Amino acid sequence: MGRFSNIVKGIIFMCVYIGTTMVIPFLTFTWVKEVQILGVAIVLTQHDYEKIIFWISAFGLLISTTAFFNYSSPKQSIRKGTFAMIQIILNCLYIWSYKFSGATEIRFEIVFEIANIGFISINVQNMVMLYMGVYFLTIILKGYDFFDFLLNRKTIREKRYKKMVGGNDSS
Amino acid sequence: MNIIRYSRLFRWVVRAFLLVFTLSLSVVSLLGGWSAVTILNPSSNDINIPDGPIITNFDIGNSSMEIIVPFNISNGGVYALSRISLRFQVGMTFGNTSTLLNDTTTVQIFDTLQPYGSVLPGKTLKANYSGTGSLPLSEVDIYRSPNALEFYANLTFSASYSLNLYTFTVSIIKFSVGNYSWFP
Amino acid sequence: MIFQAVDFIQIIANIVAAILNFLNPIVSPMGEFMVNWMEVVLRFFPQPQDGLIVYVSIAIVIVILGLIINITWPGNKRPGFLKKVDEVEDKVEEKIEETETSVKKKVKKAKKKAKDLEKKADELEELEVETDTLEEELEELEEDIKDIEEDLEETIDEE
Repeated sequence: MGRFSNIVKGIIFMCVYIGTTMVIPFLTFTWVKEVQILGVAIVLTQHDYEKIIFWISAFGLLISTTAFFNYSSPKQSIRKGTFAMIQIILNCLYIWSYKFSGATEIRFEIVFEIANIGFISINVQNMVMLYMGVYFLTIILKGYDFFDFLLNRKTIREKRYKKMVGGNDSS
Repeated sequence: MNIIRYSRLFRWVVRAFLLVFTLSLSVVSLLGGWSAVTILNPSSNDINIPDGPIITNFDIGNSSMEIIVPFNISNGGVYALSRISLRFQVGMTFGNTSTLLNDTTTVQIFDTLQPYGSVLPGKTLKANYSGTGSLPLSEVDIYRSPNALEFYANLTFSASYSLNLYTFTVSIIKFSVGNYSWFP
Repeated sequence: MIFQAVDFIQIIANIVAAILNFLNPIVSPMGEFMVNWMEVVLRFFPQPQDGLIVYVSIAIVIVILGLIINITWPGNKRPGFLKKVDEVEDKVEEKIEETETSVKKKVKKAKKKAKDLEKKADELEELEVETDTLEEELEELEEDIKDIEEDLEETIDEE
């Protein structure tokens, strides 16, 4: 792949990540902020909302830009491996910090005619542990990739330049 | 011909494992969400707490009260509803004769958590929550109007779902469960 | 039909539940470990009250770095060790070509010679055939001479 196509690929993936990590969550949480069920408002507290939006913007930005670096790098290169790993770690922090507001319990207030009449809380701790376990394995895999790219650099490059300049590597 | 390196092969195996696991997790989330919507949908009447009027029996002579809350929970989802528990906190508000202006005082009569086990898919749990509490009547202004004693309750319903991956708690605070007057 | 669909969903739910229940004790501790280190790490990140300025700056730096690095080194330039290999390969190819052309020339020459020889052989064959006919003619002539001589001797004897 040439430099132009690499950069275009990076920009496309950055846009995808901006959409999935920033725009969609932002719209969703803005909608969820005040949902009404049978005339009863289920409200996410303003403090929680602001906190979530902050983390969406902060980690969304970092994830999107690392995605740009990652996807505009050549296949199986050390820099790609490095940034893929950074991206996964940021993803973990992103999920932990905003989706679960730094905790594993999401709490909605139940408001009926101005008065607060109770709350609904969803504890997703066990679910989060499983997801984080998956992320742990993904990080291990990315770490493995990184060392693989590092140790087998010669083989990878030989393969990459075997057929033509910027050739494909099917492995 | 391209030969896949062994290191890449190992990577594919781990990736396949991750894919299976993530897919399973997604399916559980999806089915759990769908079931939760089915169960919690107000029109489905799957969770009725209380299922009928709350019964309060006052035994003023013995300074005690009994509360009975009938309820039923139907599991219309695909996974068992487990770790079901119901917690009732009842508070009594009364005019306090030991204060200068007969200010109202609220005391907690009882706070009991009762576990109800699990409800399998397609099954219904029909039970009564009951609790007894003692009434501190020594300082009660029995001439207070309109009611000498007012009872308020906090109800907390909690259950786990989707292989215990989600635990939800619904809490309704300070709703009236009855009152008592010596001179109707 | 609906009941069949519900049954099918229930079967899928049970299979998935079995997989998750089996893997849960393995994966959950990993998740716990992740959560522990993340809680520590997140303390060092700028918090909501600090604003987004740090995150925006880091994002800009990453994008600029990405642009510079990936435009300068897009990964399509052959590495040094492969260049040497290329040089050796080129030399080998040149030699192969040279030897190929010389062999081809020699083959051409040999073919030409073979053709000439074939021509000569044909000529020789023709000559052989001619000599054979001449020899036959000679033999016939010799026989004729013999006959004539015999005739002559007979006539001489008679006379």
